Amino acid sequence: MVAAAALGDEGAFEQIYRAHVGRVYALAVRLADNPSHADQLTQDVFVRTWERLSTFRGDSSFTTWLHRLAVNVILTDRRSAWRRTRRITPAGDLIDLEPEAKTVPPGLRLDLDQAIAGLPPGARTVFVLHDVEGYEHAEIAGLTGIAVGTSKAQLFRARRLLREALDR
Amino acid sequence: MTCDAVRDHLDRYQTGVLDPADRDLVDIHLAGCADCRADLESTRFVAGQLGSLRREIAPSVDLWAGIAPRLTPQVRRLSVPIWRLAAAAVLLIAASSAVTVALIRRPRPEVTAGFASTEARYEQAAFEVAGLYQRARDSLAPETRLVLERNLAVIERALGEARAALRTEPANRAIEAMVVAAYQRKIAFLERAASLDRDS
Amino acid sequence: MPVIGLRSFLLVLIVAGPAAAQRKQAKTFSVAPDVAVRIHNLVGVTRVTGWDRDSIAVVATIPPGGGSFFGGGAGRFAKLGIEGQDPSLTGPGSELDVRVPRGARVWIKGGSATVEVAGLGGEVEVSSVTGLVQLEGSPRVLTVESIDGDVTIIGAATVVRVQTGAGVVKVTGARGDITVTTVQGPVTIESDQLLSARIESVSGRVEVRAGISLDGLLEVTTHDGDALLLLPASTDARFDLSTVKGTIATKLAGQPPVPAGERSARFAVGKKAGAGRGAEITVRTFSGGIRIDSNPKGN
Repeated sequence: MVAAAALGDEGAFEQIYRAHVGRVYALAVRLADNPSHADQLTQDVFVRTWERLSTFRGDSSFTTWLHRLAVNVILTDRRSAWRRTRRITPAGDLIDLEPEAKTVPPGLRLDLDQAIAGLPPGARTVFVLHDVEGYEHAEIAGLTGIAVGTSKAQLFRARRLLREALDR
Repeated sequence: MTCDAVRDHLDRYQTGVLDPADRDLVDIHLAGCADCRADLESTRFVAGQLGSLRREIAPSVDLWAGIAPRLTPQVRRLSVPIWRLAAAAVLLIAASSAVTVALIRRPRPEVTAGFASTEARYEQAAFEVAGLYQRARDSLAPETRLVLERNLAVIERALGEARAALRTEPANRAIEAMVVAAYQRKIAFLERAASLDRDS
Repeated sequence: MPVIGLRSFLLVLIVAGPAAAQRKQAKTFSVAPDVAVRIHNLVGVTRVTGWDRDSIAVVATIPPGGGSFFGGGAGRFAKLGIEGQDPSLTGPGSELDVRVPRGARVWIKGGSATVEVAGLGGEVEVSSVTGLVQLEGSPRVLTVESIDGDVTIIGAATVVRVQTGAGVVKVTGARGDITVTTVQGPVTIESDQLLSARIESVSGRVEVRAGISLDGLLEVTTHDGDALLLLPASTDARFDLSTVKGTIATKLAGQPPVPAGERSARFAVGKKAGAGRGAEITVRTFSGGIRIDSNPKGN
């Protein structure tokens, strides 16, 4: 099916879309700064997949390849979106500059996805990529442009914040 | 063992797969370090929660309608051996060591219908924003209205040309992308025009 | 680029009298270094200059019928400007000369007023209708929204957002993330190292004379405006060019020219691009001509 789609068969590509949209959308919702962008980002991912299909060499599973491409598209979009925000001023390492986690009204029970959504962007990115998607810190550093040490620090920060948000 | 080193080991420590020598060192460190104990607790806690995380989330609307119009024809240069390819309606031109594959695009009526609905949605959004501008228009200075509407005319002309081109070449992805871009420009401009009278 | 020096600043100068054609008013107030300042002047000239003091100093020169001055603030918020001006934007213009701390966040509203900004390093936002907007310096974030005004930006701003209609846009020296949108206004971008640039116009001609960083991105989209890219010979990028009714002409070292009559072309120039990485350069037009040349002056 991948081969057929790589040759331009849109019907085959649509089947690829249907098979993988759930995973890609979950990634977009969790990684994007604004969950309402997840629709747009998911579409961008699949358009980019279509454009890059001929570069898939079959040396990893298609799912892994698609996934990495999705992470790239989403993070690149976030980098641009981050820079478009007027109220937050980026300088240098964008993912490092961020506000504190949003506080939760007491008595409100969260599920894990809600808690993840409440994390500051840098911590959320590293947490989603490491604990949810299974990337190593070195890979995360390569994908995001942050230092490996920063990635490790962000991960533990995320875990601490999640525990505070959920363990009440 | 330093805190940094301990943190590197924490994941394996809490799943019990750390080798005994390292485990002892981590134990010793944890006994005297509240920070790292807190890190361990949150690592454990989060690991316990992760099982409940959905691996897949279905979008609330079918996103394919927004994807299909953007799939422009790709000239594929595939350097994988031919036996790996499942050929389907393909034209092959053999070249020295690589295989160059040219596409035959088959117009897909259902995809064109998909774009028609995309276009209708944009038209509706443009109509609504135009309404907002009409309401704000009277409070603008005449000179301002003039420059706004002169620019709008240019945007409208471009949109008209793109749509006309699409009618003569339906399912041309490049033209569809131009139509979408033209609509987005119109909507963005009208939004700005409609908010001009407000002191932000 | 001239640096506004430490000229002595007149703090209080009120000229009043039956024969005076203009009123001058001045005000100074202490503020925080990252104060948010709103400056309002629809007709005339507004000059905002950064300085190394934790205070705002403003001198307003107002002709008869030119409105009245207001201003005040402390700590992290200040607001000043001219109110009561002729709403048709054609009345007599008032002059505002404002000094603000270099790290201030500045928001300037103009109509037909010329806006000149220099020496600021924080965030700058200008909202204008037809007035010329000119900025020198390196603010972190610069946003200019105009309807028809010309916009000229010189300096190494990090994030630049410009929107105008028929105005002429020139951005020189910016090295970060640039977005420029015009309707008919021509756009010229010059930079030795662009990180990310998205230029859009309906009918304006877009000219980019820039080096693109290795993981950079350049996107140019027009309807019938021509797009001309002059790139250094060392450019390492993947190109994606397409037009519906226009023409594509390329003259890049190490790359055969795109054959005449082609409506789309995708190719890679350079080592990293050849390996699937490198910068990404995308140009899309409806009927505008696309031309990509090696910049003879580039490295």
